[in-house]
Amino acid sequence: MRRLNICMVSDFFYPNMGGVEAHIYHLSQRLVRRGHKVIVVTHNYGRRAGVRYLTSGVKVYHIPHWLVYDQVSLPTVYSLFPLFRYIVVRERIDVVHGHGAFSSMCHEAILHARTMGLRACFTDHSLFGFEDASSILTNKLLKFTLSDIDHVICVSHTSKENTVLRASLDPLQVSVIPNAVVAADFRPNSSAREAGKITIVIASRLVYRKGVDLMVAVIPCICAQFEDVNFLIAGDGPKRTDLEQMQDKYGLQDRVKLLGAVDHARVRDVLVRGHIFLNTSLTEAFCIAIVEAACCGLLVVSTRVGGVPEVLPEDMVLFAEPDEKDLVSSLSRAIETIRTDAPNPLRFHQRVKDMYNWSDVAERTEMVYDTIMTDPHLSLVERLQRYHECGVYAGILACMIVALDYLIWLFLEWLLPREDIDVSPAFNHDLFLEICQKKITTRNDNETKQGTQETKGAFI
Amino acid sequence: MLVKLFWPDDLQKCAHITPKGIGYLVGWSTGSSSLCVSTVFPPTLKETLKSYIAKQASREIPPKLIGLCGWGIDVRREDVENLLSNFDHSLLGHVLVIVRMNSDGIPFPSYCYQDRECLKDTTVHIIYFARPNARALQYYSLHPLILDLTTVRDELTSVKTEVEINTAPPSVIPRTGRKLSQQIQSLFVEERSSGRVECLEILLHQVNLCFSLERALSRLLHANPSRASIIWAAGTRIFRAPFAQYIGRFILLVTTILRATAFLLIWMLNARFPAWLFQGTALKDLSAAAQQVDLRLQQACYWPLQYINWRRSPQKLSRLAQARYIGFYNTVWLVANDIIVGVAFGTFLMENSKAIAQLIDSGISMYTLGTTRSMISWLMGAPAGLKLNSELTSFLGEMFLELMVLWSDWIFILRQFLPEIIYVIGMCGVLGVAMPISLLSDLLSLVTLHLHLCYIVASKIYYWQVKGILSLFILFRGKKKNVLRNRIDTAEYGLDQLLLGTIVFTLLIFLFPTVAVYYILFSLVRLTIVLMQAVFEIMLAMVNHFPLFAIMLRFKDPKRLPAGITFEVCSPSYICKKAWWKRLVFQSQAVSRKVAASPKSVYMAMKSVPLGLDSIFYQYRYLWSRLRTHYLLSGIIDSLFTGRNIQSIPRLQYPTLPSRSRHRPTFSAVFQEIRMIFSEITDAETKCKHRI
Amino acid sequence: MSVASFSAFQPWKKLLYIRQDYPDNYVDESFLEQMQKNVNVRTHYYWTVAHRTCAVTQHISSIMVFTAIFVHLYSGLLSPATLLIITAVSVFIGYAIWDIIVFRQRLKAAIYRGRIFKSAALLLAILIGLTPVLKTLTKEISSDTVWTLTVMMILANLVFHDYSAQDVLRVRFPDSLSINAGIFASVLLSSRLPSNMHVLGLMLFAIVTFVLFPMFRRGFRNISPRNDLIIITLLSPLTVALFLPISLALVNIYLIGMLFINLICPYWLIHAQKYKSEIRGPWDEARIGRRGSS
Repeated sequence: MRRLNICMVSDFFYPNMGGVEAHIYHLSQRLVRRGHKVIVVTHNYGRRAGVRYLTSGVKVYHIPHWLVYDQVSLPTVYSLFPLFRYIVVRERIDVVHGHGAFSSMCHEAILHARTMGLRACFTDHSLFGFEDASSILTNKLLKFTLSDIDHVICVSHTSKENTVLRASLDPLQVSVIPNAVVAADFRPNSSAREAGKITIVIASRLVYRKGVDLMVAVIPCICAQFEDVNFLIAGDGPKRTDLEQMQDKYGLQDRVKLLGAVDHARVRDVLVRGHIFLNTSLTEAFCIAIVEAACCGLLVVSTRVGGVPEVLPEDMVLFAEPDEKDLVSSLSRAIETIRTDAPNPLRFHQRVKDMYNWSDVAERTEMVYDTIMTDPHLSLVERLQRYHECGVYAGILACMIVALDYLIWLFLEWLLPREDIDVSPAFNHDLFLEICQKKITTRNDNETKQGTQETKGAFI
Repeated sequence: MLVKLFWPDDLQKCAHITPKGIGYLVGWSTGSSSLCVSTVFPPTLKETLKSYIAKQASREIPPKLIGLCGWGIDVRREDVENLLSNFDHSLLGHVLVIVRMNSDGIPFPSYCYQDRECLKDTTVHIIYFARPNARALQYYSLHPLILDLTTVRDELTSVKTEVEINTAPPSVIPRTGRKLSQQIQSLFVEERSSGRVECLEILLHQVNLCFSLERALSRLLHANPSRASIIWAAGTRIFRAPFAQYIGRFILLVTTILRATAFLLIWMLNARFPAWLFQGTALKDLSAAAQQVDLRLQQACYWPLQYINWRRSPQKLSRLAQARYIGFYNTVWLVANDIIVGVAFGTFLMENSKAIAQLIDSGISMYTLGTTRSMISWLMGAPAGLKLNSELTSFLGEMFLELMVLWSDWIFILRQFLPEIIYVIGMCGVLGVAMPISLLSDLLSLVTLHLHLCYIVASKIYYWQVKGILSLFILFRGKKKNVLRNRIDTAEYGLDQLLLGTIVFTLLIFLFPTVAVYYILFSLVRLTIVLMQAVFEIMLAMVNHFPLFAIMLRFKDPKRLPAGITFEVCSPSYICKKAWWKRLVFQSQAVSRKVAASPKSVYMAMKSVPLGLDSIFYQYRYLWSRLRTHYLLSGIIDSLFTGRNIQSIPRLQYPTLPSRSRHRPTFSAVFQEIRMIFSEITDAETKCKHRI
Repeated sequence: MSVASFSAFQPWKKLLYIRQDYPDNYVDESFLEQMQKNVNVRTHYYWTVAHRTCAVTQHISSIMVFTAIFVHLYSGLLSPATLLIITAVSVFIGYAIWDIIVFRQRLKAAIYRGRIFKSAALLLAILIGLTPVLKTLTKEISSDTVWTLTVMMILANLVFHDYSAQDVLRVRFPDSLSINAGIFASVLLSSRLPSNMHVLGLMLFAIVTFVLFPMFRRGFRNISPRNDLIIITLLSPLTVALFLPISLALVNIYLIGMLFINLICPYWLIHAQKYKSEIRGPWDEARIGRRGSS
């Protein structure tokens, strides 16, 4: 197996919290453990600019950049290039891996990487429609970036279909590698549940796309039907007012609790308090939230949208069409199930643990890297031909952008020759592991004891 | 083992031994390995020293005998044995250090003893320091001296001990890079079973006590009392004489009466008007002069307290005491300067009262009446081609013009007496230059009162209009404001509500430009006046808060304003450095005398870093931040657009007083305070009598 | 027995939670099976579309009537008293029909009626009180500006008008802007009129045109879509009749416009349908079926 130097690029990374951020972090960790070297390139977060190290020696470059909206950097096409080239040469990068279709930094980095003759790979985390103006624009941009890409990874089969359509790709060029969860962070704890009541948990940002309107319609119905059912809503957003108004209107302040924004680390504590998890999203590529909930041993009720039906088996999740009536009936069924034949949370946990883990994701991603490393190199003309297929006018524009990028690259090579750039020493991960191993072995005995005690406690 | 030895750089001058002699090193020992030398004591007076140290043993930081020193000769083994046998263990430091001074007084540590055993393999760091003269209020401190009394007090309320041990990390200011400072900090941290102990704080305290210990010991040597103490004793005797008692009572009476008057005045100035008059503000918030009088009275009431607080503070060198001391003298100096400049300025006003009055008079008629009137009549036409609503503009214009006319009748009376008023203002210069300035500021607001009134009227109309438009716009969006939750809810309106809203909205929108031009005119005028008052205010701030005393101290004796310490690696001969011109002349000599230090010793010099200018000017920083938060924030722009009133800033002048947030002491409390002081005096008298 | 060789024959499933012995980039035959093309395309029938466009032409016609009334008022052909009588009569007729159709099923109609009469009286009183103010509001603005602004306001009214609204009683957001623009236009125009009586007449007529009439049309249409035709057959001759004394050219433009919108535009739309290419699939943002039952 060849050891690769991989560069993850995305606008979204810690300290920002979200699905893409967690994906990059966990994937990097596992890849490093498999012997690769991984760096992450992102923009600055406030005063956090420069280089930082994460666990396992993952190096993060926070590049100072302007932002437009919600942590998305300003698309400038070329302004990133000099610094990015410097980083890539310094770290001897083989593969550039971009994440997230919204991230303009990712698009730019892929373009520059291809210009410099590196392998590029892209992971799509979201779904897009084809109707409104903003998605048409994003789709065009995606088509441009993905014209010359070695491989694309999608998080679900639906997402793959979507991406293939949006960017007119060869479906063989697109792999499906799902997200995963760190099962240890989502252990069930039945004792946290309120006795004699059934609690339905909702954990999502309170925006239109997450189906807040459905929540507003469904919650009063369920509360009227079942006396012993309470709701627990974690999350914040512009639509929170709607939920508050619903509370006021039906006098449900005692039964519907709005917790506001909850740290990702504390989501588990909220989840274990419930019996049922309700997801009302209107669009979702993978929906990690329901996997986390199932991992905590909750029965999931979800709308049948996007990639959600692929994520969990039928006995762990009850699907509903995204309308009020169907959701209410699904929820009623779920409540009945909890009353008559409640699923064992630990079984759920064990099953989810077997379904999804990051090592598996890293292994599959590594296979993608191996295949793209064997692809033949493309000449500039071949690349331009690919870009030209973007569209009648867009193609010409794309060719111009790429050609200028190539010229800038040549200029940079002349201005700051490769030989003059220092090569950064690699983090000695084997040594790190050795030291960790020592510590772990000394601590191991205690932990196994504790572990068995905990599981016993949970059974009781 | 590493021993840190603090060595005063003038030890050889005050050493009480002769060259070629041996002496005891007296000082303190801290922790296991830090020593601080205060003086050298001759072995001839061994017993005196012994009894003195034993007497002092109960003190918090008891002085110890910490070693032996030979000037020009080596300390022999038997001297050490002699010492160890003679002195009790409790009188000795943890470590005894044996030092040899060469003829220039440069110390060379030879070896160390611990528990009566000669230590092998010890390294001694010698740290030179200039002995702070406690009588001149010099001292070293890890923490910057804070002149702002309020923050000092807040910090100190929690600290009960005599030694101010702060939990904040000490500010050893690095001179040769960050690394060194960290090294030095780690030098003074000792690992003990109870945890890490910061010694530096205690060491500095010892360094500060150095001077007084040396004095005490030298008094032991020269047993006869000094002349100063004789005079002091005589003075107190006279004061305690019976007739002084009556003087004391008289002074008590006068002080109490003065204080009572002052308190009455302060109460009058601070009393709020009834709510229907001036919106219930106090007199001193209305007039700058009243505020100035209030400030001076409060200062006067605070002075005795401030002085007594300083005198009573157990440690004159503590930060609180220093801040009080500097604060007190600064105010005294300022008031003195204020009066000097005030008399000059007042005389100028008095002598030119006619000319100045004429100037002001023409200013009044030209700007506050003439220009404004012409502006209003311009707005009543079609200003700059704007299509204003003719009915409304003529109505508003007439109203404002009528206000003007009314005012000009009133101001006419004032204008007649203008020279006399200026003359009186000049006379007030005797009370300090701040007084005429604040009176002029008041005069300005008095002669522009009509403009202020117009501004209030215009801004109120404008405010209603903007508020109406904004809330009607919310209505059109199908929302309403939920006052209980302070958020915008979705709401549905009936057709009649919507229609009425539409008609009113149309009305407001079409009338908006007309109201807006009047508002713009008067708010610009108001801004100009506020700016002019701000200039007066800044001048007052200059007069009332200039840190004159602190700046003088900073230049005269920077050691009295410490902000931290710094360490420098130096050569052993650092202490025999001479004035620069001497060094030029005798350079060759110094070089030839350069001595080879033993390789294990490191020589360092500890220096006090004086306070920066920014902390001296803390009051200006405070004023600036208040001004900035008040005037330069988006809030003022916001209120300009929405038509809320622009207020002038209240209480800009008070940061020297102790209670920025607290209440003034009540009258009875102050009276008790005075009573107590005088009862102390009388107590002393009765004691005297008993003794006699 | 090797499991791998066995499971190679197992069909591929579109699931993520099981490991399948297919490569990650495997493309199954079922790929893009769920994609739907042009599901939303309805085959439009010419006459239905033509029928629906009546909502637009009705509104345009009523605005034309309003403009014509103003012109007649301005030129003195129409006396304000006549206008007031016409307005009152039309409001009463309209209300009678409205009362029958809207409150037919409701039990509390009496309360509603009382409330309507009360608020109508209040509104009338306020309007009478404000008339002198409204008249002078834009007096200083020159006539050219007034005409231009009026045209812009009427265009804004046309743009923001809610042609598809079903709700008879309530006015929603963009529609309230449209009403506003209409009232703005009438206030602008009223400053050119000679007397307070004129202004009152115009304002009342504006309220009828921009607020009451659209609601009436909606209610009328809810009974039967055919009623649209009745209104337009009444309204367009009225418009023509009112505009004939003003300008023949305008009448011609109006008639041509009506024909274009009502007859040619529907044909155009149906013709353009064949160029439609819409992709739908599970990735689309779901539409919430059925709003809350409150």
